Amino acid sequence: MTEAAIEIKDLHFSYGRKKVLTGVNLDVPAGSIFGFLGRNGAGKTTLIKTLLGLQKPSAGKGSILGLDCFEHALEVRKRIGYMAEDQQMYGWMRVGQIINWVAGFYPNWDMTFTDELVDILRLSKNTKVKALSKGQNSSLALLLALGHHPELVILDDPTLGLDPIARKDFLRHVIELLQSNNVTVFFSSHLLYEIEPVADHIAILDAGVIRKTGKTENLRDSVRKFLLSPKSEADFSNIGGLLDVMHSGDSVSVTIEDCTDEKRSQLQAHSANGMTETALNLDEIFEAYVIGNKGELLATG
Amino acid sequence: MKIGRIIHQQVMQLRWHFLSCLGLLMALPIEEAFINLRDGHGFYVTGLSLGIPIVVAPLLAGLIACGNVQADLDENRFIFWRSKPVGVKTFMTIKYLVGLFMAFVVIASPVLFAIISCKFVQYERIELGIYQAMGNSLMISLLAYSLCFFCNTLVRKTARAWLIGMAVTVFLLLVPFVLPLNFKDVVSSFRYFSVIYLVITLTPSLVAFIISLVAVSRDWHLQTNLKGLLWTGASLIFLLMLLFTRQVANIKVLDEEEIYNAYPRCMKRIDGKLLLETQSIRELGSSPEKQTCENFYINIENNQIHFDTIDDPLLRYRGAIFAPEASNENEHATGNLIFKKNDGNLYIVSMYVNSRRVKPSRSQTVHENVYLRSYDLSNPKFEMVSEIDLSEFVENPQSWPDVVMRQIENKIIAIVNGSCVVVEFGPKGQLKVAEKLVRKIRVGPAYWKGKQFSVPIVPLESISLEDRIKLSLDLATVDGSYYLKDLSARVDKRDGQYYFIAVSESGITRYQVIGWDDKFIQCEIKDYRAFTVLEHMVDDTWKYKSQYFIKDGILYTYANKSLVVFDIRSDRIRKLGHYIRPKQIEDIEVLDNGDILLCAETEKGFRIPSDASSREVNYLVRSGCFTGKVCLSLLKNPK
Repeated sequence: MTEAAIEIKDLHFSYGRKKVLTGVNLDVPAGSIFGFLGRNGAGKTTLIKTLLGLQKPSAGKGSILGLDCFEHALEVRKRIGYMAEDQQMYGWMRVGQIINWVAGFYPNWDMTFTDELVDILRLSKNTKVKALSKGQNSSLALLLALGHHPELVILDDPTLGLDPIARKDFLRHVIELLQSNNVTVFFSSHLLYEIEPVADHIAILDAGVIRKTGKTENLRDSVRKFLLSPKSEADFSNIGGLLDVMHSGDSVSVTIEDCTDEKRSQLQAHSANGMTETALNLDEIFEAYVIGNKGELLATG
Repeated sequence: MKIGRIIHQQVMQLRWHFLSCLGLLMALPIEEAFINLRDGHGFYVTGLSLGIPIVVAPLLAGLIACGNVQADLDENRFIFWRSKPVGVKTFMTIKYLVGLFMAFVVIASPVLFAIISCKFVQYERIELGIYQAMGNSLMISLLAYSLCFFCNTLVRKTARAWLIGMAVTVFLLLVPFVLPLNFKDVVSSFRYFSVIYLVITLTPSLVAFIISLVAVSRDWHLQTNLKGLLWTGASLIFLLMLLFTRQVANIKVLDEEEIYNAYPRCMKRIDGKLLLETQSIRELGSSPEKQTCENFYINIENNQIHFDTIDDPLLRYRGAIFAPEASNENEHATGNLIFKKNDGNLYIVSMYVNSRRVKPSRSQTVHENVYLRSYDLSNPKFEMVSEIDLSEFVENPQSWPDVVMRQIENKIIAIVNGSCVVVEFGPKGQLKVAEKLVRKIRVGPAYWKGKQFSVPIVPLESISLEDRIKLSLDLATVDGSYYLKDLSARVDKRDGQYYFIAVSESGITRYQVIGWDDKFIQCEIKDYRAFTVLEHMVDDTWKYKSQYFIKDGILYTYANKSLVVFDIRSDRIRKLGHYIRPKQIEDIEVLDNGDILLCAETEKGFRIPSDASSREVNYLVRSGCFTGKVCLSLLKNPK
């Protein structure tokens, strides 16, 4: 059994009366690249801040690398690298100065490695931080998250605000630098196509609740969309794992998770004639989980 | 974690704040500073050129505090440093301390620069008050810095945090003064008052700092809007004004009745009468030489005031009465006593200090000789009758000797630098030493600790015990110049109890004698009444400490433009009136019915006649006639 780099057990968090996270349970296997998907405002950053020990959960526990997130926050932060969304740094510092400053916090900071990263990421140590482009700013933030060889890297929507080319460039660096070093990567994003090529595990967070978690491949295999012409008395509500039902003229598209032959037979029974089955990409799966109606419209209509 | 790197980052982050504040602080008094340098006084040596930076310093300290945390508390940057393995409290404490240190360096720079520049120009006389003022400035700056630091951790908007921080600073500093707090039994001297002042500045600073740490670690925000801030500010001002009204109601413009309008300088008490010197210029116009000087007795009988011309002998020697002439140009009269003998003659006894400049530079003056002399005012030649040489009492000729003279009936107590002679005044004005004590008298205010304390009794045998007690207590209140010769001026006896009053720049203390033995008088503090902030604002309160006296259980004290009257008959000091007038008070005299004669400048300033020649104008300028007319006014009994 693979050891978990991040373990979250029934985590709750509220800002006053507003519940942001509700009973989150999550295991991030060590060495994986874990895609953490969610819409804006779903609670991704709140969960990450809680994991970093920056805020105390209302209930539940979270641990990183076997250490309690809140009790041993400083020790946790020593062993992980973190890059926030739209990372802002001290504009008056030069790249070299901010590297030196951040290096002061980590006992195991590798200056040689950092120098290599400066070259790889095409940064100049003499440039002032405020003079960096958005792409360079993200590269610097990545560098600062990796300079101490962290065991776990948490990237919170790291490409937010980057243009498509800069985004691709950044992702290429992430893959180059992290994939081969057995570093666990917890990659939070709301852009599916960004996660899909790199993530081997996925979790979908919606309205503070984890909707789905699992290996990327399994997720792809298990979620299926069926196109059929329903019988007049067709009722899909009793089919387990129903994610979305959408009418389009005389035909209906039904998306279900954990697709089995039994579910296929049930669907077939509601079809006036044959049905077609299609695999979904991650984008569509995410859509089905997050905005899928779960047959409610059909049931009420 | 390498703290040095955090400190370095902090210093670098604040470097522009630091440099601009330092530049501003050094540049503000630049004109005066250059004048000082030209005069060979060092660059920032005078009160004004150092005072400006000291006053501005708390504002800049607040600015540095806001700049200190602004960059770190920005929403996106906040998460950047917080995600690093550094404790919030450690990080913020380092920031606070480094910023505070830099603020203190900025504030202390003008004084340090003054000291260095004075060494450079070999100017040694830096006023000690500057260091005290700088100390005060540092304490207020600490408060302003801490409160602005705290406000910015909550508000996270530099300008608003600075405004709120400064407003709270001012509020905190003023509230203890405007609230009807009574420091009775707690504050017995200025030192204790300083402790309270320290508590007022240190406690909120510490609390603000601790709450700042909690606020940052819990990411507390406070949403502010400009309108709300303005309303809050207006409310605070309103509250302060409400509190101030209590003091304002206590201060009145002097309702004086002008009874004589001339050029009186001061009043003297001779033979139970008041002598008023005037400089009436009756025939000014064509020739200034026609100005005449007149002296009057002010006869007060049945509370009616009459002006009688002074007898010839007194008129001739008016100079001797008001400013006794020294026997030569190197001698300075330091005070005088007037005696009237049975033969009807008036005698004057004065103490003289002989000064001379020493070679080679002649820049240094030594004061080696002190004399006590008596003169017969009836003698047209104003000849000396008798002289006693007190030069043996001079300890350090480089310093001006501390001299005090008191009159007890026919005896004169002359004290020079803690040594004392009791001199008997003979029937023809002869002076005869009755007793001599070398270095056994303590003169000057003492800072007594605790509610009860002891004052040593002056070990003189030639005066009565009651006079010894009064003299000992009287000498204990001497602070600076004290020319009142009446032992009852500060010490009084009511209902068999001795009590005395000490006025300092911070307030009035009433002491009572609770017992005595052969060597000591046991005293107890009965009440302390601090000057309010408004009283501090309307006049130089430090002048009160040398210009006060008691008469019939009422304390009268005056500074430049203020006359304050307190009822001190009971254990609670109660203000009867605080009168202000637009111009200088020269002298006051309390009449038997409680009315007050006021010798003071009037608004009716002297004007140069339009046809005056340049010679006349020059004469008037040289004779200082432009300082304004002085009048004699009568103020009704404040009781």
